[in-house]
Amino acid sequence: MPIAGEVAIVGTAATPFGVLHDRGYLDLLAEAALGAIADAGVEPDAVEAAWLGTAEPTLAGLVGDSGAAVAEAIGFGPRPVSRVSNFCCTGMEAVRAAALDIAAGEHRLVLAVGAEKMRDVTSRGSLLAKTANQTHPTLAKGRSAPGQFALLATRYMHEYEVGIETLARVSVKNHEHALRNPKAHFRSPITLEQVLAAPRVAEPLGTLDCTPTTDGAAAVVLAPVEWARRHAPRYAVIRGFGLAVTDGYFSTFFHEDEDFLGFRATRAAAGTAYRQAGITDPRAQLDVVECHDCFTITEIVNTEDLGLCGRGEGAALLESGATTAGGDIPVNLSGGLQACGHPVGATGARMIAEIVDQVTGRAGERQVAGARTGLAHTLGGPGVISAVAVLSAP
Amino acid sequence: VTPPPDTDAGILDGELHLPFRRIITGTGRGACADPDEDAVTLGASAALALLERHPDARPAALVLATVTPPYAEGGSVQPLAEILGVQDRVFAVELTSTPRDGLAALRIGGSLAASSSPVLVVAAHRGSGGDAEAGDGAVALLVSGAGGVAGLSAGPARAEEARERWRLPGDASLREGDASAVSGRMEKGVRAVLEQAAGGAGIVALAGLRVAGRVERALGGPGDAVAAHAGALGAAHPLARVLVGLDREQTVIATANGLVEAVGTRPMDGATEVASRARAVLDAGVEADAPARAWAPPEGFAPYQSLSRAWRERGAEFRLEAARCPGCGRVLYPPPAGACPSCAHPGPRAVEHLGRTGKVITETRDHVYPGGAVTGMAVVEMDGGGRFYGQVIPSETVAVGDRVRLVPRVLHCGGGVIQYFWKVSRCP
Repeated sequence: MPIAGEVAIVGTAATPFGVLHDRGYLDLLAEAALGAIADAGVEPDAVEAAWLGTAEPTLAGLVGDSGAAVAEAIGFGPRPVSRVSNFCCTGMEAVRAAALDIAAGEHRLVLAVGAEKMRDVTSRGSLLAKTANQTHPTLAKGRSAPGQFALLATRYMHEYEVGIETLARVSVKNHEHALRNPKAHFRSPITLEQVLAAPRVAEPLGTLDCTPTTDGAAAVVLAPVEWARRHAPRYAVIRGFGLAVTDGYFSTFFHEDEDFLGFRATRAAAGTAYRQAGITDPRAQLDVVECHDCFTITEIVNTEDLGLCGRGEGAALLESGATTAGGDIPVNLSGGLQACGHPVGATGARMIAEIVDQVTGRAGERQVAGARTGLAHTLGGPGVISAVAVLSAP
Repeated sequence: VTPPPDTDAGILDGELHLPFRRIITGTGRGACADPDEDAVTLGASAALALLERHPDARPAALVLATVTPPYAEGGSVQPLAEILGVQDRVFAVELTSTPRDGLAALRIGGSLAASSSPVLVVAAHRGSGGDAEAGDGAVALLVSGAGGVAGLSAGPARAEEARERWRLPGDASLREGDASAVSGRMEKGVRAVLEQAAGGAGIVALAGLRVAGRVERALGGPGDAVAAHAGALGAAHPLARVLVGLDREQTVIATANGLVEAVGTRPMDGATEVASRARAVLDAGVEADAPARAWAPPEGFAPYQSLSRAWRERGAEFRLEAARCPGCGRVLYPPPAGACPSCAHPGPRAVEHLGRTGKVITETRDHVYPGGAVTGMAVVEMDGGGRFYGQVIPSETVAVGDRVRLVPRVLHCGGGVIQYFWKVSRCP
């Protein structure tokens, strides 16, 4: 059977996100995994298989090339566990793998857990060291994650005559949203002036245009809708799940098709998810969106690529207030990556959990009244991988 | 110096390349390279400009002279041959002992050209930041067995034991002989060569710059404009003097550590243009206060490297080899392993070189990439199609819409090998 309409999410959990010196990778993994299983109202023994999303296990000192950490962290007996990795879509990929597992009819209760321990090393020893030391030694050498997205910011500002203040408003908005998220990395309001005055990271982007480097884990438990209907205390249904991979890590920037104004991968993944979910007017049909705001420019182009507005209209959409809490299409009420941080493997699972909580009415102070349908979106590498999930109340 | 009747060796053309930045030194101005330049990239810059004027020239030999070879042992001429695209058909040799070797390279080039012509002679120096009088720069000459813009003749030569500046294995810096004694010995050696020579006009002495300048004045030479405007250019110095004086009959003498050598040139049609171009390079540049900082990657910066990968991809890396898709006609760089990313045409594709000029479509200045300083990165739409995405040279910034070119530079020394690659620089 397909995923869409047939696979449900029956339990969610997330650890606090932040620089968590007091907890190791396995601690975070265990907290999220056991939390989601408990939330589903089942015993750990009832869960038949697990999928682990971790992008950079070596940052936590692990061997890393397996899903064995799940067995180690929660004593997950002799059961099938695999690790998946797909750049910054790693967390979503764990959920997607678990959903495929259910859809295949192989298992009935499957755990998807995303965990990343990035701050057992310094922030610059984390992903930055990876992009500097790993990958191709000449082609595009000198790139960093902020440096790659800064190329979009420069081009976007040039093409659409948008000022740096507009980008900064994404950060102000999402930090404001995070005040209502007790698990966010940053829970302090910031001003436009602070964002603009922050030291530059990759021009035009400054530190407050960038997601911090963060530890965290999140997990969900999946089951067939038919099982959920009978056993789950509450659940959300996956209505559509698109994944699109368009290119390699940096090669996309060499291609003449790349316009530096958005991401083809997101448009393709959203196209798949919307087709499956029957979404033809995303802004009208979606009640709440979590999208990948690793940098301020990313949220602006994502809102365009997700069809919440036309291309080139993302800045106007933001400035209209439509994507702010209380607006007609609130984006990143959790605080997004800007304020929650981005433990790579955890982020997609956190977003799915957030949207499930929204459409099941459990999002606390962040709750959008009457929310029934929501979307979670992650973007990987320099925009070459995108995962889009549409979830709704039963 | 009278050219021997049985040789028609000549200089076809030459290029003097100097970094634009000039530092004020005790003796004048010193050309000062960026921290990511070395003798190979400076030599390549001179030779690429020269070969651009002679697209049909297929050098049969490449002679590199430098006393600042990037590889102390193991060869520095190979990356130069790769960048210039002559790696698969050239006799390549390098001379690295004294600044005299620049002139020796020309002499050897003249001899080789008699049997296989033309010969590309390159001399380069990366000396700034060390010796206060030293500058950075390079000269490239195309030497022919059948005339050119200047006739070329080898004069007398000596090889006496007369130490001026030397280094024993393990020495961090040069040892130097007593200056007045050096001056006396040098003058004697040069006078002996002049006596052996049958005549000639214009006298140049080189090496141990200040001393050589005194000797030159004592012998009535024209004065060293290269030293005054670019600093001491090591092995490139004698060839820079050859170039700037190419429009008159001259004897250029190089002397270093008792090696004394004379080469004569005689202007023919076109000599004035070549000499004027070199003099213009000498006079150009902008004055700056401080030499470029040394390139110092932070601790922990250890880029992945594989020598097999470097060998396999040397065409794309050194020569910007791209591919043209027969389906959509796009120039694809780097050349894809499989189908065209735009139209999915499977190929095969003909090799086509990425152009080296283009226009910036987006850029950033990255403050966190651990390259030792703020790293400019730019995406460039190349003339003729295809794109380049890479670093901007450290002394410049670029903006969207700027016309730029790709220049050879040192990217890093990951894995203990020097990783040469192209960087983006504004068009002059």
